[in-house]
Amino acid sequence: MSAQSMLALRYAQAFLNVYASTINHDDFLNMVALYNHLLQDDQTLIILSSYKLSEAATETSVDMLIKKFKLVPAFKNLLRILLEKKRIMLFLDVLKFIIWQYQLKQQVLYFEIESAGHLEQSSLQTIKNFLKKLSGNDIIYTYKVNESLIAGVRAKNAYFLWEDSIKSRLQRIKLLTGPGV
Amino acid sequence: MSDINFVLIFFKFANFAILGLFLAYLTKKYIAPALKESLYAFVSVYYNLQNQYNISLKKVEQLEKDLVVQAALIEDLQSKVQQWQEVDKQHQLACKRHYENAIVSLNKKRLIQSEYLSESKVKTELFNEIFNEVETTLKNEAPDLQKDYIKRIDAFMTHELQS
Repeated sequence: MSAQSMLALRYAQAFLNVYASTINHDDFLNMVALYNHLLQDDQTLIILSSYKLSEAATETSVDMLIKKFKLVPAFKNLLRILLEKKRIMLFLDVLKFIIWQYQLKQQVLYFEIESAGHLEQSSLQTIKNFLKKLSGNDIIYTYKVNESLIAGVRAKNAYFLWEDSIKSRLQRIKLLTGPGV
Repeated sequence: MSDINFVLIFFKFANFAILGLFLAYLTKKYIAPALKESLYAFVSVYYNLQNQYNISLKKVEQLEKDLVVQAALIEDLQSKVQQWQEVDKQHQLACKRHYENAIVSLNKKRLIQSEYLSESKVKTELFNEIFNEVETTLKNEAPDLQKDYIKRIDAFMTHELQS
């Protein structure tokens, strides 16, 4: 692990030591949404790290970010510390470790559930219960339709993948019997 | 008369004697040395010629011996040349055989490879064609398939949860 990652991990652990109990599952999903957003577009952090930005403007930007992603107010403190220490570019790593460490600390697992067509709430609940039984942890999930699966369901997180779909079966057929085997 | 005859005969003999003595003197004084000198010169020339003849004879003998040696050498060389030619011929034949074998082997490999490649190409194309067709068909039937899949997954998960 690099020195930068170690530092980010320490910030994450310190944050969770203080605020973990105030974060519920919805807050967690909001953090994931922010993390995915920053992965796609890191302009936000570049703007925040800009020296030309006044203190008031920075404060407003942080508030807007927290409001937009419905983050717990504790994030304001974290962002303020990182800005003061001129380590705002560490925020993405810190957020990643908060997401990992929160799952370990609260014994929950975050899954992204995808299906080829729309799933009823009852089906989603069955999948959630199934994953809970498999992993032994509480499950937090986000759900989206992914037509590339053709038919079936995929549930994945940083450590596990459960999938039963036509796409995965076709891929297996291609791997096992396709040309070049 | 007889005396006159006798004197005449005597003078005749005397003439002959004087002439003889004169001839003898001439012979001894001039002819004999000249003859002797000529004879010596002749003998000298003869011995010279004889000597040269002997030397030439020896040279001829030496040359004949050399010729025999040279002939043996030439014969040996010819034999070697023949051996070399034979070896060269064998080598050329071996090279030709090797070349022909290599060509046959290469052609065989090329044939196998081209057959394999074409087979592989056909296999790939066929597979991809079939695969794409199957995928397209499945995509067209996706809504129905999804219903079946969800039913099956639901049933499987419910069963797993109850067990």
